[in-house]
Amino acid sequence: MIMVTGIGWWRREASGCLLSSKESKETGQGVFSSQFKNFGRLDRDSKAAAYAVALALKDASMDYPLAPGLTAGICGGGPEGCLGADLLYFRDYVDCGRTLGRGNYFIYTLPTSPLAECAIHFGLEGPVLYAAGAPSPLAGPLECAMNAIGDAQADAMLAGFVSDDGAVFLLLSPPEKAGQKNCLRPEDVMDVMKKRQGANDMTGALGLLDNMIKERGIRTAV
Amino acid sequence: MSTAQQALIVSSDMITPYGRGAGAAWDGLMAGRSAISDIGRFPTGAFKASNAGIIDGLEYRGEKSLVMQMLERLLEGVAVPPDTRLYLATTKGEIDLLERAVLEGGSEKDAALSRPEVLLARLREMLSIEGDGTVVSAACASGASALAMAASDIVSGRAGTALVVACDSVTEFVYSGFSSLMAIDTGQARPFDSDRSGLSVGEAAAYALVTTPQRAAGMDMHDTPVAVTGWGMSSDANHMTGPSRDGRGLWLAIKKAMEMAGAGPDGLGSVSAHGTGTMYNDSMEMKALKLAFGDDNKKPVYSVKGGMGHSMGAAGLVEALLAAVSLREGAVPPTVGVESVDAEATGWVSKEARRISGRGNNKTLTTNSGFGGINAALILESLEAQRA
Repeated sequence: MIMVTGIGWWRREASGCLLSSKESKETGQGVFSSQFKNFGRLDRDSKAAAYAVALALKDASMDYPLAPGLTAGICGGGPEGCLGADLLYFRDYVDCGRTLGRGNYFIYTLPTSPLAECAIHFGLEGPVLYAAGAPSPLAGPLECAMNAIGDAQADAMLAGFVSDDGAVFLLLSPPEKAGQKNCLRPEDVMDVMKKRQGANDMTGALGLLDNMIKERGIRTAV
Repeated sequence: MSTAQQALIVSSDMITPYGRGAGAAWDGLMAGRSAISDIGRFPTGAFKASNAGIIDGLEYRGEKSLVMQMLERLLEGVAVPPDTRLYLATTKGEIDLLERAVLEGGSEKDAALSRPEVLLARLREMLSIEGDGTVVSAACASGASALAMAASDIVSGRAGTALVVACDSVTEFVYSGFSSLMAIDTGQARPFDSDRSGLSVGEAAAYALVTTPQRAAGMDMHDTPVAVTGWGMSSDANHMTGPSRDGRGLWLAIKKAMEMAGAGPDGLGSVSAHGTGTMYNDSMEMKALKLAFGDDNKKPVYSVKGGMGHSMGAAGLVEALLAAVSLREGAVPPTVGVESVDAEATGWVSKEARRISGRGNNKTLTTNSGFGGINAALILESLEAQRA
């Protein structure tokens, strides 16, 4: 059985863990339980994704590197994809006379780049995929993550999205692998994200998740 | 895998630098001919190289994007059931629209038309598909990953028919980027050669319609269908642009695919490798294949990228479809561009075409890897009886 065992979200002004009701007090690298190598060179979306993933794992009370034998992957999306990184790279290339691109900008022009940065830091050896499309930026990654676990591609998956105002990631894992007991059925989350209005951005998706937790009465303090 | 669970590729087509159709690409590869040529689309004087696998007759920065021109040709007359699940695999899609917006002082809104979700919506409209569809991007393993996701939908019963469309093009954006990473060979790519020094960028578009045997029975098919019987996806979790040195990440993907297909090391007859021509990729791949099969259990391994270039998000699908041709023909093409096979690949890779014989000659493995350490492996099975 696979459940949503952790939900982490990050914005410039605040961040938190939804299932354990924790507001995150840590800022910057303090969110990570081990040093994030070369964090300063990451682009904006990669930093946002990394914070949210760290908080999702923290929400589930799951340490990383993950326990041996537990393979996890990551599936993400986003309303803007990597448009910001594309513009940054190509404008810089043009401004520099169209002679040499900047490699450190180019590597973030793949929509999977933030996910790959997370895979490297958190030791995620399962699938790394960008899956986007209507009806909401969370629905595609969530479905993709559920299918990956169903196909035995991973034991656990992170699913989420990055947008202009932050990132949210959900951890799907066997509940017994998480250190806390609050969880949601991924099918219920999918249903909400597909059918309810307002799931198209970070604020809307977080609001829907929060309401869902309140309605079902499973949000408890750890 | 029982017949009821099979995911069959029942219809497919491609446009590559060799021309239209898998037949054109197959013939070019079997003849050892490279379709890599000089780029006339944008100035290359500042770059280390000036050639790529280019498709003839496409207008650059004209009214339509390069991939849209490819897809309009490719999908003309293609009809799929309205409930078909659509997957679009790409890395940069219509990035030439963003180039044009930046170069002509257009707005951010103009640039945003390059987002693959916009292309996905247009594909749905072109094909009259009802569902939302999904953009799949997994770096240079995008095409293979999307095919795996489509096969998963069919095998699990989540969809009756799935269409995978994969595309990417040679643009100044992509070429300057690879050039900045010093990843391009000055000549044509020489996968698995001892003197290889980089990749050749390429472009292509392809589609594959995947369905159940039951639905396939009612379809008009030109070729015997090929089944996708196993798939694996993994991450090196190691580096943003370089593969893991030990091949373990790709091996994990291969292992998952082999387990799903129920194929042991002797149960596969050939391998279509990613084989970019970069020093690190090709070395990593040989290590992964040796982990999967054993050092001395040599299989016929080939790469098509010396012939047509590396078509990025399209590569995995193009190569899977050519691997299907390989199964039907009972042969693997030469690795175009290789002169002196690297010591690591000796006995596996050849500059000659080879017949596939022995156990497992009706099954083949394809592998793809990309930036961020993303890997995908597929196992395809011919439904024709195993050849003697």
